[in-house]
Amino acid sequence: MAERILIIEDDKDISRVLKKILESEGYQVECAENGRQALDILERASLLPCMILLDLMMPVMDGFTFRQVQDSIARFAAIPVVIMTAAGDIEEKKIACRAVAALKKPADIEAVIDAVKATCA
Amino acid sequence: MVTRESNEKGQSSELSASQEVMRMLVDSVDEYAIFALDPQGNILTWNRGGEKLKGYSRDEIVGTNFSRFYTKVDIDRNHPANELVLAAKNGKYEEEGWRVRKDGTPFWANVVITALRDEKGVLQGFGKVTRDLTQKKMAEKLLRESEERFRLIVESVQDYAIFMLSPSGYITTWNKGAERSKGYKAGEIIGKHFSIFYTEEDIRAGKPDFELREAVRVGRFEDEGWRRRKNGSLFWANIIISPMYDGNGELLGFSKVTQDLTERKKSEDALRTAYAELEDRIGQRTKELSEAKARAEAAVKTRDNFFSMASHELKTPLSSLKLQIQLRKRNILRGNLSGFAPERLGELCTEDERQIERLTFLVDNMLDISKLTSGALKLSLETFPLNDVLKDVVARLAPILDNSENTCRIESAEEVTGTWDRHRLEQVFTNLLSNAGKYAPGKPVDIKIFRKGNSVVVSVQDYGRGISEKDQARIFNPYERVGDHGQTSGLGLGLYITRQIIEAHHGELKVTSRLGEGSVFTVALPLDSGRSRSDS
Repeated sequence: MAERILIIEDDKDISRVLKKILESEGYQVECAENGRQALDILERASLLPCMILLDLMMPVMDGFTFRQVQDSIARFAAIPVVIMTAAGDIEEKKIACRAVAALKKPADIEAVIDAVKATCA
Repeated sequence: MVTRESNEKGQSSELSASQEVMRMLVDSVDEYAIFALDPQGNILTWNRGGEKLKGYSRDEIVGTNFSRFYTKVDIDRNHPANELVLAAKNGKYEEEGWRVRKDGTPFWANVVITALRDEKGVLQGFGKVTRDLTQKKMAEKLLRESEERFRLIVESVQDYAIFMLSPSGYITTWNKGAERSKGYKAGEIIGKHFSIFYTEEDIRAGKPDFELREAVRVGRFEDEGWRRRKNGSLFWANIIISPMYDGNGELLGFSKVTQDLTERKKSEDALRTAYAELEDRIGQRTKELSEAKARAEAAVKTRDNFFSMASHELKTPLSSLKLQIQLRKRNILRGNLSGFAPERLGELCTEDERQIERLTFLVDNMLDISKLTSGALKLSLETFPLNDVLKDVVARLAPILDNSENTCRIESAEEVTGTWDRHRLEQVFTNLLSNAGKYAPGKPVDIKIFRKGNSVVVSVQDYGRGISEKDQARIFNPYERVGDHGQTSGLGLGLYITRQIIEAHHGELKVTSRLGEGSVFTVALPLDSGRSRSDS
């Protein structure tokens, strides 16, 4: 059974291409436009994703807020998170979000696939 | 006879005894010159007082005429003899006048000459009592002179009004200073009550009488306040009222010294005002400086935010493009060509175009903002129907609006043609529509276009989250992105640029909005922007 990945990204073009990339790598991918929507998906999911690919700047609920909420819910807290950001000081943001890895936008396809594979291994 | 004789003798001896006592008494008096004259004024007797006062001994003076005590002037006018005539006629003559001592020095004498008559009334001579009043006279003279000098000084004082009041406050003297400061001449003010100098308010409050009472109670009354001149104008006065008593402690009246401090008060007031103004200005300047500092800091922060936003906004379509292209390359390299079927290729190009459109839009906005801030926004006017522009924009934004699941409805009753900058108006409606897509995804967008007088009005209505009243004032500012940071994407320039373009067309951009219900942006443009410009 294919492992699941949750992408949280407000830009639909980006999430669409990421979905295609990860599906071509054999993952089952779900997309959320913001943190709020992601929490809804997680609540409903019978099977939790092996990781979350998280954008930081988003409307409704941004990545930082999502991480706080996620950590406060025991069932979701263990899901590893890889952040994606266009902003600078990426290491700082990785620490702030307690992420396992951080991708700098625009990221290379290999960097995305490597990060996902390393996290979901 | 004998008895009588003896009686006479006894009487005579008694008389001579008493005469002797009398003589001794008179002789011993040394404060007064007391002596007798015969009817012609020749000196018959002399006493110690005479010797002391006039300097002559008994031996040298008895038998001489009393006129030698007189000044040459008096002698020339036959005054000594006249005195005797008057004394003889009236029984007594009294005067004060200058007399001369043996050494020639004059002295001021009080002289009483009494006619001496026998029982039959025959003039036997005169008694003369002379008193030296020189000391008293000098003292009086000095006092008078000093009083006079004082009066002259007081009178000539110009800078102070100095005058006297009766115990009940009526003016009894006046000086030059009083005339100068209050405007009354002595003749017109003496006898008037001093309350004439007070304002009606002070008079009603009973101030003049209060001041006199206080002066009596405390010994002095000092005050500063407004007083009235003859011409009705007011002056700022320092006044001192002092009560004056005679030797018996009886109140004689008051002295009042008034100084006109109007000029001093004016300069003090001016100084105070200038000081207060200065403080105000310093405060104002400090406030301005701290506001300017806050503005500068805010501007720096805004610029930093702008660069961070701009990089984020540019990187989003770039990320998408980069991943798309790398995915295709990867598929091609792996020989996985299923995604490149001819009908799919068109879609792939459309997707790429959309990213390029977004990049172009962002870059255009960034260029526009630099033009707007340098004032270099120029319109290229041409005449065209605005309906066409709207249709074009809606068509061009279709990929973006589809993406945000917006349906666009255009309602127009007529075609409205005017003279505007086509490219700039495309930009205006692109901004408004993409905002609707951004802030009201999944909802319809209603566009209405109609003519109103010499203007065209276009309203773009969305049914999204709306804008609070507080935020409505901010949305047209550059770099403002209403809502929490990171909650929306964009450079925060769209509405700013939109409004600048509309204003360059002499039009107006307004927003009406309610939270939770959506927003209506209304654009009004004159049909001929070119002509309005030359008109204005």
